[in-house]
Amino acid sequence: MRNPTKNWALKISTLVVATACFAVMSASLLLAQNFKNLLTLWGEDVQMTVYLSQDISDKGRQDIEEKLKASGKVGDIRLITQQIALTDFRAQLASYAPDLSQDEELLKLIPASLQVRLASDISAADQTKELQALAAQIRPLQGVDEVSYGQDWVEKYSALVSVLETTMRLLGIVIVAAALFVISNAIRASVQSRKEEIIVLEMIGATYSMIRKPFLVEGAVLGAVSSALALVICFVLYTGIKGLLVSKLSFLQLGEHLQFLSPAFLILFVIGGAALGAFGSYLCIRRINDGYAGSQG
Amino acid sequence: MIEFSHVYKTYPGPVHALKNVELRIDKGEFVFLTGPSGAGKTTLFKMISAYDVATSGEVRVAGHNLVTIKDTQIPLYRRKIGVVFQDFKLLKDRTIFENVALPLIVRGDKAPAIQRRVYEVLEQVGLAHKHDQYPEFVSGGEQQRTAIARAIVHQPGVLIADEPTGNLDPRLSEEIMDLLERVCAQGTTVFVATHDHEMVKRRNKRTLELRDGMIVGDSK
Repeated sequence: MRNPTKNWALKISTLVVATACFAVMSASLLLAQNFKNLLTLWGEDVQMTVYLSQDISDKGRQDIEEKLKASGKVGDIRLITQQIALTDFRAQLASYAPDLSQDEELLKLIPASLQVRLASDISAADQTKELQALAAQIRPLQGVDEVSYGQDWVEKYSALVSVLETTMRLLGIVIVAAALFVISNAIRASVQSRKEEIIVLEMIGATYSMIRKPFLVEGAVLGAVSSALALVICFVLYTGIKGLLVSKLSFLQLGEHLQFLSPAFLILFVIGGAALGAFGSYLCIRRINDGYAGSQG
Repeated sequence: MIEFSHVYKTYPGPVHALKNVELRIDKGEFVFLTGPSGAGKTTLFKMISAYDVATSGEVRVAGHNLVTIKDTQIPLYRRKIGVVFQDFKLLKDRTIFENVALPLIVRGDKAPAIQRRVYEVLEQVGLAHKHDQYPEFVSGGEQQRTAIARAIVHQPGVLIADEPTGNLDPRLSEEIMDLLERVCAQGTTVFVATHDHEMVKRRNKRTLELRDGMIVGDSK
C-alpha cells in the first residue's frame, strides 16, 4: 500500500517524453510505409516493351514469350498486335495530327510488341537490374527488333527508391537509439527517486532479481502504454492529414492511396515498445547492486 | 558470532582503513564500538553487512565466511542480520506496518504470519497504535524504533547499529538503547557504533575502541 501521490509528476513527465519519442517513431514508420506504397504505385508503370519484327511467325513470338516466362522475373506479358498498336496510335494522334493518322504507308511501320511487367515480388530498388538483365537476354533473339524499358526513368526511379530506403533505415536507427536513450534516462530518474527503497531492499536481503524486476516491469509498462498512446496520436494526425489531402488537395490523388499501419503492425509496435522500455530499464539498473547502502557513511 | 582475524582493508591511494583487526563477539553479547570519525567504524560495519570485502584476513559472521562468500549468497546472508542506520532509512511511501513487514515479505513469509509477527514486534517497540501512519508523521524516536523493529522482525542472529542515536536527543537516545538491550536479552548479538562516550559509560557494556584502523582498546 503506497502513498498514491508519490512520484506522480515524475511518472507523468516520463510518460509524456516516452510518448513523444514513440510518436516520432510511429510517424516515421507511417511515412516510410506510405512512401513505399506510392513508390510501388509508380513502380507499377515500370515495364519493358519488346518490339517484334514485321516477319515474325506466331511460333517465333511464342518462343520469345516462353523465354521471358522462364526467367521467373516476369509477372505479366501482353501482346500488342500491329492492329491494336495502330488503333492506339490513331486514338492518341487524332486530335493533334489528323493527317498523320490517315497516312496508311507510315502507319504500316508501327510494329507489334510485347508489353512485359515485372513480377510483383521484385523490389523497386531491384527493378533496373532485373530489366537490364532481361533486355540483354531477349535482345539477341530472332524476331526481336528492339527492347525498350524507359532506361532513364527507371534508373532515376530506382536511385530515388534506393536513397529513400537508405535514409529511412538510417532515420530508423537514429530514432530507435534516441528512444532507448530517452526511456533509459527516464527510468534512471525513476531509479534515482527510489534510491532509498533500493538501499533498504538490498539491506534486508532482497535478491538482485527482486530488486530489478519492478524496474523492468515499470519500463515495459511505460514502453507499452507510451507506444499505444503514440499510435493514437499518430492516428489522429493521419486522419487529419488524409482528410486535408482528400478535401483540399484532391488533384494530387494521394488521399486514396494512403494507408494507416496494419493491425498486426500496431500490435508488434506496442510489443516492441514494451521490449524497448524493458531494455532501457535494464541498461540503467544492470549495475544496481554496486551497493548504494555500501556507499553510505 | 562475529569474528575478525588479521583483517586488513586498503583502499586505492593507498588508504589503510583497517589494520590487523582481531575481534571476537559471542552470541548474545552487547558491544559498543567507539572511535573518532575516520577511525574505520563504517568500514568495519560495511564488512559485517557484506558491502565491502577485506583486502586480507578472515571475517566470519553468523557462520558465513564474508571473504569467500558468493554474490548470490549475499542476499541470503543479509536475511540473517539486522542493520540500523543513523538516518533510519525508512520508506516514506509505506506505512510503519509496511516498513516493518519488508524483511518478511522478502523472505517469502505468508500474509497471516507476517501480520502476526509484525504486530508482535510493533508491540515490543511500543508502536502498535501507529502501525498505519507514514514515517514522516511520527517523531524521530518513533522512526528509529520503527527501523529497529524492521531490523529485528525476522529474528536475526546479529544486529548492527551505526550511530543509531546520532539524530536523537538524550532522552530518546536512552529509550533506543533500552530497546536494543531488550533485543540483546532475547539472544541477539548487538553491535553498536557510537560517538556518545557518556552513554557508553552509563551502560557499562563491553566496548571496543577503534583508532586509525586498529583496535586500541577492548574493555572485556
